[in-house]
Amino acid sequence: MRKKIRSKEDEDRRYDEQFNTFLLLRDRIENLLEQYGRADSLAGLGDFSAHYHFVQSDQVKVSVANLDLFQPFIVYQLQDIVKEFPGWEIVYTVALDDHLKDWPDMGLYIRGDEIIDTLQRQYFPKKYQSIEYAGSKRGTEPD
Amino acid sequence: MKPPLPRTLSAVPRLPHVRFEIVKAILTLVAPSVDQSCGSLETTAPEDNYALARRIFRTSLREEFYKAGFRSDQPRWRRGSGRRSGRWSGGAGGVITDQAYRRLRGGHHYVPREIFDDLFKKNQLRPETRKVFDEAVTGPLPKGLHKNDRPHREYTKAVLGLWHQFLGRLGIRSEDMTPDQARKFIHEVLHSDDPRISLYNARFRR
Repeated sequence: MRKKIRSKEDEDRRYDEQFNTFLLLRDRIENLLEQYGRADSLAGLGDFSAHYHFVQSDQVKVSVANLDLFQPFIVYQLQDIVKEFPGWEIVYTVALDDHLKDWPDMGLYIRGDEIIDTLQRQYFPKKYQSIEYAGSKRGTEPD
Repeated sequence: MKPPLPRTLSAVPRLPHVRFEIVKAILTLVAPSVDQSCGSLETTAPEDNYALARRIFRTSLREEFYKAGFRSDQPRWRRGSGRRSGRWSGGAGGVITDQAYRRLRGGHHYVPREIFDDLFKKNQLRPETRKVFDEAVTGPLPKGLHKNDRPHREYTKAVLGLWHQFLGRLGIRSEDMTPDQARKFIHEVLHSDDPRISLYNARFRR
């Protein structure tokens, strides 16, 4: 019985640690992106939204509605941030308002040591089709 | 010292099943009685006694619900939401602090935190109103890989549409919104028929 209580306490402690890290990383991401775009707000839709959903995984998800925020120098800064959080990743999703239904799921999985690129550039306007991230790996969206 | 209750009130336990038995007895008493002399039914059952019985029953139910902490103005899961139907769905109650939010430990905010927090930072939302929104959260979500999901953006858009309609209907600005109005708005979000909202929220029902 005592063992059970202890393991529940351990589980709670782990959860709290993970949740606090999530909040910290999420705020760092938002602070960075606010330098380049406007966050979604009840006052109106902006260029991005760093979600508060915490699903007990080492991820922070960002919906991005402005392809300018996919410029490599911004993505590399995000990678620098996530490097400080070993094991965590940023799910950086393409979510353009005009193409929420007709474009497939795509985005970047930004980790400290790699970037998984699932962007399907053929859908993008020409000026964004040549975007590349040094050392990134092409991948597909998980099912 | 508290004055004792009248004998008729203290003699009978104020419990729903006891009240129910009393109501049943009243109904029996007010039911049409058989005329012993000719065996016919009396047609003069007093209608106001039925109303009285109904009133006693409803009052006692309300009292019991109130004692149990039930508030009819709190947002609840709509009928047909499985085992959660009728249960509190967040968005009401007292104010909470940021520390208390941490104790809520994540989850899905019915009004996404990322969009109402921005108004708060710009002083366009009262702290007590913000805290109502903060409290309207599912609580911890089960483990899962939060993959690339665009419906979140659609959810935000839909909630935003509701928000502007709500402010327009009340003729207020966000900075004027009271905690009670925030609770009403959350209630509208929870009961919205917009599939972008209802389907997204349905994901979080266990």
